[in-house]
Order: sequence, then C-alpha cells, then structure tokens
Amino acid sequence: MNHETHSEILEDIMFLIYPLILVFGVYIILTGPRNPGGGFQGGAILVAVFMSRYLVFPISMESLNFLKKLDKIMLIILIITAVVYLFLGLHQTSDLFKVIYNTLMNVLIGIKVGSGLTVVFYTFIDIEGGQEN
Amino acid sequence: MIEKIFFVILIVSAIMAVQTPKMRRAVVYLAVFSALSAFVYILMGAPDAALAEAVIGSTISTIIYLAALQKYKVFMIYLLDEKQDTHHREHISHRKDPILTTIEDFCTKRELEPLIVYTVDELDFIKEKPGWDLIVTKVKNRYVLHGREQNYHAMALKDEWEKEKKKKVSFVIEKEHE
Repeated sequence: MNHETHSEILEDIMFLIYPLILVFGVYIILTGPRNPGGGFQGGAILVAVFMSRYLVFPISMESLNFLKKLDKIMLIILIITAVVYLFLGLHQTSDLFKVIYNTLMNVLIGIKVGSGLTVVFYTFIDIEGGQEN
Repeated sequence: MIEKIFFVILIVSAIMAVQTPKMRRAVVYLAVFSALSAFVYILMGAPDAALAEAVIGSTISTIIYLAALQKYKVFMIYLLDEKQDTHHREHISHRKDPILTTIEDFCTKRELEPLIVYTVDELDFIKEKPGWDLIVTKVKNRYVLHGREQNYHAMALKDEWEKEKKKKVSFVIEKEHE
C-alpha cells in the first residue's frame, strides 16, 4: 500500500478506539470464568487490535520474534500450571484456589492466543510467493 | 419467530456472498453473515459462541481476506499483434507500445507486478484461458482493452482512462455467464 491511500481519518479514529478495544479485551479475559467470554475470545479481541493496526500502518512488526517466544513460553506455563494444580490436589482444598486457578488459566490462554494469532497474521503478510522476505 | 426471520436473512446474505461478482463485496457479505449468525447464537442462548463468532468471523477473518486480496498482485497482460512475425522475435524487445508505459505506470501506482505476454493467438482463444487480467489489441492505431468485471484492478484502470478521456483507447468489459 502506498502513502496516498494512508488515511488520516482512519488513523485518528484508531488512535481513539485502541485503548477501548484493549480494555474490552482484558475485561473479557478477566471476567471469563463467570460471564460469557474467556481467554480465547479475549485474546482474539486483542489480536483484532494488532490486525487493525496493520490496516492503518501497513508495515510488518518488529517484535515478532518476541511474540513467537512468548507463544511457546505460554504453552509450557499452561501445561505446568494445570499439572501442578491437579497433582498437588489444590482443587480439593478450597474455593479460593479454584477462582485463582480459573482466572490464571484464562489470562494465560488469552496471552497465548493473542501472541499466537498475531504471529500467524504477520507471518502471512510477510510471506510472498512462497518465500519469506 | 424472530429467529426464523434472521435465519432467512442469513441465507440471503450467504447467497449474496457467493453470487456477487466482486471479491471485496463478497468479503463484506461474509462479515455481515458472521455478525448475523452471532446474533442468532445469542437468541438461541449461546453467548459464548456468539462472542467468538463475532470476533473471529467478522473481524479477524475479514482482515485476513482483505490482506490476501491486497497480495493478489501479478497483473497478467496479453498484447495481441496480428501482424507480428513469429519467426523473428528479436525485434520485439526493441520497440515498446506507448500504451504499455501507461499501464506499467498504473501498475506501479497500485503496487502490481505487470507480466506482459506478446502473442499472436486469436482473441477468443486467450479469453478462454484462465488467469488473464487485461488483453490489449491494436486495430489501426486504436487500442482496445479487454477486461473482466470481476477484476477490480481492470475496472479501476478503466475508470482512470475514462477520467482522462483518451480517444485512442476503448474498453470492453466482459461479463461472466456461469
């Protein structure tokens, strides 16, 4: 995309609604255990922020390697958390642990989905004709 | 009752997405389809699925489709010259039709990659081939450009030409009957 199609209206509106979408995504993640929503949906909303950033500024992302690492680290932490929770028998102790566990899992899934889908999207943009730029 | 009305609208938007000739419109109809189906999920008591459908269907996949359409970049141009002698190909590269410079300028402006094929085949033979974007024929110092209605780059080229009102060029738009 060239600079002629770069729209100032789009840019200003995106600047206004970025924080709102971010807060909405975090809200969906954190209230996941009780209300409709959860880690996956909230993470997807966060991805929508990064994707609409591409529509406004069509450049590839610099911190893609960091997001790749974050994706893998989150997968490992997710498995470790679930295993620790089950094998230490925390689910039998009290309701407080259940709430903490649910919220923590939702946050972890949200971060993992957000970073993973962003990596998928920006990789898709960078690849051209079967070869990476 | 209200569910049935929305089911009908869903089917209508799905049919419109399939039937529309332009790709970008089809993407927009698909986004409408996703938003409507999210609403139907809410009516049927599944707010969780509705949230996922609304976010993924009408935001993420729409943006991915639009980015994919932007990457649809190679612009295939066939240049027909019936007087051309096929046995002497050397002189083809020496001269260049002035219309090609204009088309190449248009392509660079839209970040397309022009792929120009010089040919002596019949016009109808090329039209049956898949994958052409523009066919340029030359009839007595007059150029005739053939484009397809589905191809929005060709339509934009036609619009640009009609704005400048060049007399030597006329445009033929093919409509697909399938």
